[in-house]
Amino acid sequence: MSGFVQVVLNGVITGTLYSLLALAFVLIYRATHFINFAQGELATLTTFVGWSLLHVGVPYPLMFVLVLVIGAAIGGAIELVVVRPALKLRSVNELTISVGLFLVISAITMGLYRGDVRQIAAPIVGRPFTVGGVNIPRYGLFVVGCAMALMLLLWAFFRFTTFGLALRATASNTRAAALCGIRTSWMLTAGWALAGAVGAAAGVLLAPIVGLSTQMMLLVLVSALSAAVLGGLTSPIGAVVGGVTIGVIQNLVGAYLDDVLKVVGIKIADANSYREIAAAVLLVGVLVVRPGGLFGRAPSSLERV
Amino acid sequence: MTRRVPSDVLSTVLSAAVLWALSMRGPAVVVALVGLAAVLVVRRLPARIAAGGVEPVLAVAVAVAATGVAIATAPDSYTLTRLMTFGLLVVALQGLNVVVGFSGQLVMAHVAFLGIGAYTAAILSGTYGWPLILGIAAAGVVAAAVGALLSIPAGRLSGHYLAIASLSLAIVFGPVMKLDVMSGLTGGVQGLSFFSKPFAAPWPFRWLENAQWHAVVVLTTAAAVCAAVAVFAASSIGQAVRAGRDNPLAAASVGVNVPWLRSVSITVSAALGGLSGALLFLVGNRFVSPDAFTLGLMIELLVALMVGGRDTVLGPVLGALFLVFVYREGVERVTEDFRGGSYVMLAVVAAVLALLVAAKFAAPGPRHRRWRVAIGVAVAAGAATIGMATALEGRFAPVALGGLLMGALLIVTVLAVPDGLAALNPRTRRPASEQQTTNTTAQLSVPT
Repeated sequence: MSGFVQVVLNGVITGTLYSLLALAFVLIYRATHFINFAQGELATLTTFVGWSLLHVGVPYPLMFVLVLVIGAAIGGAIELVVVRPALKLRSVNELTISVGLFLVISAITMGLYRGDVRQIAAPIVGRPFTVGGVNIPRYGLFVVGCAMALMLLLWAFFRFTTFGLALRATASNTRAAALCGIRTSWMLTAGWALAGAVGAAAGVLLAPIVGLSTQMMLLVLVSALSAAVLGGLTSPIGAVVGGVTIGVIQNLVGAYLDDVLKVVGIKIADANSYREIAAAVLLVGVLVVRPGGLFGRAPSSLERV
Repeated sequence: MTRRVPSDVLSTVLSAAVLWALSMRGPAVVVALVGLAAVLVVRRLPARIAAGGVEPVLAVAVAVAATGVAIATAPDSYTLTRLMTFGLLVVALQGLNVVVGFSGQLVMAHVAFLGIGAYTAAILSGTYGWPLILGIAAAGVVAAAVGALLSIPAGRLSGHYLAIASLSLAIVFGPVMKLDVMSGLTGGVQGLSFFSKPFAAPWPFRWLENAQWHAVVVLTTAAAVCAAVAVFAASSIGQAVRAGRDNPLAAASVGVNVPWLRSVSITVSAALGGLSGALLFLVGNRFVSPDAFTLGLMIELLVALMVGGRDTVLGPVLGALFLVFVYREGVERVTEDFRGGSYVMLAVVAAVLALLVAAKFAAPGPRHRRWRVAIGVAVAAGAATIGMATALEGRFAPVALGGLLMGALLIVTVLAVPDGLAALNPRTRRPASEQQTTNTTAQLSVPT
């Protein structure tokens, strides 16, 4: 039984990281109806910048905050320069611009930092806590704690501040918001800046776990995108739920699929290769039943590509 | 009396020449980019020229078939491989165009259909010994069946949700083919290979080398597919499909069965994708590996379709040209040139890209003033590039430069030429009334 809980717990930890990145996707989608494939690469770039900061002796907490600010700055800049003209185009062109951004940013990261793997030391080290036979890694606890704190901050920001209210209004109905005197252009930039910051946090938290390289985010990107769509692209709660769900399901499949299938008589060699397949099946299954994702609103049939 | 060359042929030839030149080195790249800018500028050809009657599809079919004849005399095997890749990409892109361009559904699972087609051809003609031509045909049928199956859930999804869901299917295709449970059929991680079974030309064409015969098969298939798609697009079914894309409610109100046609589009697209995959099996020396069908390839296909122009028959051909001769090769060429220290070329490329974007988005006003602003921006961009390159000398790995330029080229192309290169031809450009966007529609809808 403790093995099961252990597997689920590890899934929750990775799932929280997926949730953070999925949250960044949702923030951008709500603000600009744009799927930002470059989110992962943005996070990688800002994490490399954070590594440089650590390298020159900046303490970890300050580095974390600075990375958030830098991520926000880069995100906002991209919105102003590239995305603003692209908003007038169709979805398919937005996807291509997304891909172009992905290439550009990953090239910048590769060019400035080359291909070596670097290490960011986890800020919290020590033996894992043990509760009832389950190992709770300290850094994992830190990751979940940070992520929850960020999400709580974001929720409070959207719920209780005027700026957050203005952002929500712009995302909901841009023309009406403009008529109320909200500078909608600033809101769009702010949405991207927030997403950049959230993505940067995800990157910095992920780096001690998998090592900092230019490929760090590629695998996480797909899971995070699936998580965002699973929860509904317009719903932040969906992003969180989707991320944790996918993380847990992936871990469960990796740990138990061979045993389950043995009961039915099918023998498989390596259950880990089924992790991505499980996530994809889950995603498609949910979308067939709820076309808008778990918490999102299905787009009306009037929407055009 | 001089014959006026119709503008579609002219723009086709110009675009194709520009794209071919982009695969060359050094100053030719500059010339090519300047030429591209010129094409954009002079696209308003005089109406008398535009009144010519040559349909783009004929231009396409002629181009492809002519290439088919040309390779019969080209012993150079690298060019032959590139031409064969071009041919199979034309088929793949025409398929993608049917579903993304004509039908307006973002089905990103195209790579999976390619894979299904490749594996079907490999299994049938390799493991079971069918004649290869039959195997290729069967690949299209099997892929079409899978597409028809997929179109049932796909009909319930729309927009970005469909895109991401189908993308995840494309991503898991490789891992599924690699699973041990299936390795008896699919060869698992190593894939299937039948090098020992050569595919030689039959009796009337014995004088062709094996490789040339393969190229002839691929390219004539591509030409046939282009013609078929052109017929489909001009037919009443094709018109109905596009009507269903542009305004489903209005189309339904005049009796168009929109969901049925959406399924048909996905099936046709899957069939063409499967056909292309089978050709890939052929071109790849009767070897298919599960790692050939990746997310990267799907993105390349999408990008090629966007750059070439969707919703036209000509677009996929231009897109395939772009993919084979510019996208895949340009990365290495630019990197080598950069290592030589030629910042000037880099600056000129940046300047032309900036010119393209600024010319499109500069503040409206008198034409000469717009161009002055655009040229000013271009010069500034060039100078900034030289400055940055000098400042970052030694700190920036040249290997990344190709990716940087490709990404920038993509962004600029989408911003400056949103409907792709084929839209430069006034006869294939879509009417302005269709330029609405999802954002506008979303804003006008009543919030629930």
